[in-house]
Amino acid sequence: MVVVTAPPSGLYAAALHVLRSTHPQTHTLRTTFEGFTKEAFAAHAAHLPSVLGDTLWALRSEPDRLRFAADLLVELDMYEAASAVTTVAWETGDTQLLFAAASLCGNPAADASLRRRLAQDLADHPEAQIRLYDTHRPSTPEESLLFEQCWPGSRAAKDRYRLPPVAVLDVSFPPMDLLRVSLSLIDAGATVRRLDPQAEIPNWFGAQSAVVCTPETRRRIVGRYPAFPEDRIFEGLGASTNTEVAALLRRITRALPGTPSLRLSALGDELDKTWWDPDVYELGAYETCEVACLTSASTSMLYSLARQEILQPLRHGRQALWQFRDVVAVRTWRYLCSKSQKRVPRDTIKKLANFAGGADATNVGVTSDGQVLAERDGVWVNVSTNDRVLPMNLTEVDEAFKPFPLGSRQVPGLLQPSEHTTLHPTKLSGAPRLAGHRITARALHELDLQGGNDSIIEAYPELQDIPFRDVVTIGARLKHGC
Amino acid sequence: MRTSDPDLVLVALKDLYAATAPTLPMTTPTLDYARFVPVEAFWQYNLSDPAKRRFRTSTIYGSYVQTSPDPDAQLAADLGPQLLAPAANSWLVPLRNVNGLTGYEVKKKLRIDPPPPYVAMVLSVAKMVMSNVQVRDPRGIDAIPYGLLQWRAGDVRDEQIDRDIPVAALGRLKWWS
Repeated sequence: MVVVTAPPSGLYAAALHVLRSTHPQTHTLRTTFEGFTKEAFAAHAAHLPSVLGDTLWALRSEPDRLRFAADLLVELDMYEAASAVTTVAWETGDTQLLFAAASLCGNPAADASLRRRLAQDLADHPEAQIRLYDTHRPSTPEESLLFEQCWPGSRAAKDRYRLPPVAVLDVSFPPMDLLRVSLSLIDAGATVRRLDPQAEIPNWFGAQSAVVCTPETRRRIVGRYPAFPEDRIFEGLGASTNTEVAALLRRITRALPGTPSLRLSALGDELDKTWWDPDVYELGAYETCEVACLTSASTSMLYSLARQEILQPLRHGRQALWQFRDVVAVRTWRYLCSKSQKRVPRDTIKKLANFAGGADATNVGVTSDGQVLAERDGVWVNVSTNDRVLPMNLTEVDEAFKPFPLGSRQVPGLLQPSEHTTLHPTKLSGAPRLAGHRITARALHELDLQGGNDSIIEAYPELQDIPFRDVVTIGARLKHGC
Repeated sequence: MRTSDPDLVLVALKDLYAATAPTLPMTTPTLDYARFVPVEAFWQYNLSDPAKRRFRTSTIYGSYVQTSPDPDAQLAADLGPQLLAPAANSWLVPLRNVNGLTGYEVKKKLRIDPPPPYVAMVLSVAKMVMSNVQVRDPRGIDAIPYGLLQWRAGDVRDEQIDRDIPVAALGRLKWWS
């Protein structure tokens, strides 16, 4: 019996919408494809490459958009779309598309007859021949540069062209996980090649390649390239959380010394110590009473900081809304005040709030005289002047995130105000919430005021067996600013 | 406008942009300006055909330029003869407003979504005048063609917008990381 599964029409509509609404000026590869990594698409993720390919027909009247779409397919090495890209390229006569088609057809899993036809069509273009066949030897430095991109197995240990590392991913893994990891790898600066376990093992396994595959594919690779180091072959693709993806990227980076490191900060929101990523640091919308609770500052002190323009909260009508960076700045200053015998200048708050964040920073700290420093490549740099400095009497800002005593009070932790309360600036505008749920502490407190636990369970039956009383308490403290 | 097809609203807005934008009064620039684009956009629209054929993907190109001994010269060598920017994408900011900023500070100041590094196209007054480049304050309709939902009037100080920018208006390219 033959079972044919066709992609649902909704997937075509979604693909067309994505390709029609994205633009390289405003979207990264990750944001373009983010929607397809949602659970709703999991059952159909295997169809995505061919659906994207089929959708190209609808873009024929928009050459720029068509090329952008083809480039996305090449970045993700979606060879399943090779036939569609080639056909549209022939129809439109667009040479750039033909080169994109050649890049996709260079994957050994693509149709061999299509590869031969493209090779004939582009016989006068050595750049196309190199994309298609590793047997086409380069004759100029420019061609060598391209050859090493297309056939990374040819790269020597000392990379003469400063090319990014290559991650070869076995397509046997669940398609959704594969897409998620591919996007993260590309965001982090790697090149992704997708290896079909049924296809010939290509010339991809050189000094700057790492492989994530099944045990079966591992045997085939080692059989074909016995000299390829086994410590650069990783079995299994953990990709259900950002942390697992980050761990995989770290392993790949460690296995490939001498190549440009992968940028873990590109993974986004829930990694440890990513709060100073510029995309995270400036998020959040906190009411003044909430900032007071999270920083131990009084509301009058916060208004005073705003009047003096040390901080500049956003205005929403008459209400002031503070960002996560304001919370960090005030909290760190209060923490330093609690630890220091000397007066800590208020200027420190402004410097911390004005720090634009830094994806390349590994640590951020404040000295006892109020300088804000960021550690980059093992060196501490003053974020205001960019001067290198010796970190004397430095307090790492992470320290201020932990609970600390202030006078007779205990200031709650910032990222985990209580056992079951968490917050992250990328979730619910940074509002403290019940861990693992999108239910804010303030909402739980309001329901509790109406009818106690019964009201809460009536509104959120899924909390029946989950402890949340500490979150309700935090909600009350947030509301009252203490 | 009332319709059951929301796409028609977008079509109507684009028509409005096409009819209105060219009629707005322009002035001759008196400052050096810069336009910032992500590497993907530079790769897509500004790279010469021969340069583009030498690189398999924009990620590889970005990495190659980043680690080049002279990224600015590499960008200049790879620039194609086509338009620097079409009118709808000709957002400019005075160079003096961004001089000395890091890539992430530029991202923050100019409200750019993709992260750095960027390619900065620096347009000098002399070359803009010679190329007949004129500028005006941007308006809400300028956000229509590319659906720039995050755009707010006055959000980016002194921002200007142009019609199509020819490559002759370019002073230099700068890799901004």
